[in-house]
Amino acid sequence: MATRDWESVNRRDRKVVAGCLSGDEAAWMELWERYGPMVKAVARRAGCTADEADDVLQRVALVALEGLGGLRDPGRLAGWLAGVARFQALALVRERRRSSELDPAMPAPPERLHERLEAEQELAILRKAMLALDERCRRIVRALYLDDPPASYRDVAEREGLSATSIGPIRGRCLARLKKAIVELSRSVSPGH
Amino acid sequence: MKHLDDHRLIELARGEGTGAEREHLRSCRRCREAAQEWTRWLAGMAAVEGEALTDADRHNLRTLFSVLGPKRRKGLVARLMRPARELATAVRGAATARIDEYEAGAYRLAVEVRPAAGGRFDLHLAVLAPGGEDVTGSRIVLRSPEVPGLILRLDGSGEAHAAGLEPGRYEVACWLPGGRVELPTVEVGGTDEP
Repeated sequence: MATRDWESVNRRDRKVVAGCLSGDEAAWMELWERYGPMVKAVARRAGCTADEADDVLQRVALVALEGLGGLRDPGRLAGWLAGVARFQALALVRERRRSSELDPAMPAPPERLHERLEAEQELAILRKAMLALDERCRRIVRALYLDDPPASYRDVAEREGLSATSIGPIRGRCLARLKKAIVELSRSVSPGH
Repeated sequence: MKHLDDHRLIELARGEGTGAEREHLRSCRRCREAAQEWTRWLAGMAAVEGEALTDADRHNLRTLFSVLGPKRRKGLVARLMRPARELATAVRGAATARIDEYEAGAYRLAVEVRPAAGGRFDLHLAVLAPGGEDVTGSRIVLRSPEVPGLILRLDGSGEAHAAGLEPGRYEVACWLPGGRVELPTVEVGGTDEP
C-alpha cells in the first residue's frame, strides 16, 4: 500500500518529540515552527487577544516540557497540543474576566463546548494536512486560497517558475492531496478508529 | 451538469463562478456540502497560517527549553539570607506584605509579596548584581500547580513584577547572565510561617 502523505507527518512528529526529550533544541524549535501557529489559532478561537495567544503559546510550551514524555502516541502530538492550547486559553480568558470588568471589545469564546472541541481538533487536522503537502503545493495553496487577497495565477506562475497554463493541473493535484489528507486524518482521529 | 471540482467549489464559496455553476450548487446537495466543507477548512487553515511565530516567541521558547528542558544547565539554589520582613499593610484582610532576601553566587535577590485586591497577591522581584552585570531582560519563570508558567523579564532596574497571583507555593527560576538561579519555594499568601 502506498504511504499516505500524512503518515510522513506522524513520523516526523515522532522524531521531533524524541529529539525534544533528548534535549535537542533544534527539535524543540521545529516542534513550535510546526505547531506554534496552530496553538495561537486555537487560543484566538477560544477568545484570546493576540497578546494572550502569545501567553498561551508559552503556557503550552511549559506543559509540553513536562508532558511530551508521557505522550502515548507522539503521532497524535498536534491534537494533544490543540487540546492543551484550548484548556490554557479558556483558563486565561477566565482569569481575565475574573480580574477585570468584562471589556466588550474583547472577543467572546464560542458558546457551545462541543463546537469548540471539534474546531480545535479540526485545526490540528488541517495543520497536519498542510504539513503533509510538499513545499511547492503548500506555497500554491497558500497563495491561491489562504492569502488575502489571493494571488493571481500569473503571480503564482512567476514565483514558482512555471507557465501559467501548468498552474491549473498542479493546483488540482495539490487540492486533491490536501483533501485526501484531511479526510484520512479525520478518519484516523474519529472515535473507534 | 457534472459535479464541480474542488477549485470551482472554492471559487463559488468565495462568491465567484458562473451563473450555471451557481445554479448547479443550488440544486446539488453533494456539491453544496463539499463547498461548505472547503469554506470551513480554508478558514481554519487561514487562521493557522495567519499566526506565525514572532522572534519574541522563538526567543521565549528557546529560553524555556534551556531553563527547564532535559539538558538544562545545573543552576545555583539561592540561599535565604534574611527571614521575611513583615511590612504593615492592610488590604482586604490580608495583614502584611513580606520581603525575603536571598543570596546566589554574586547575586542578591529580594522577593516582595504584597496583598492585592480580590484575595490575590502581587510579587515583586529585584536582582542586585554587585559585579555590575547588566541583568536587563533576564527571564524569570514562575510556576505553581495552578499557574503552569509565567515568564517575567527584569527591567532596566533589575526588577520584575507579577500582578494578581493566586495564593500558593511558587517555584521561581531566574536565568541570569551567570547561570540559572532557583529560589527556594516562594509562599504567596496563605501562610503565616516566617
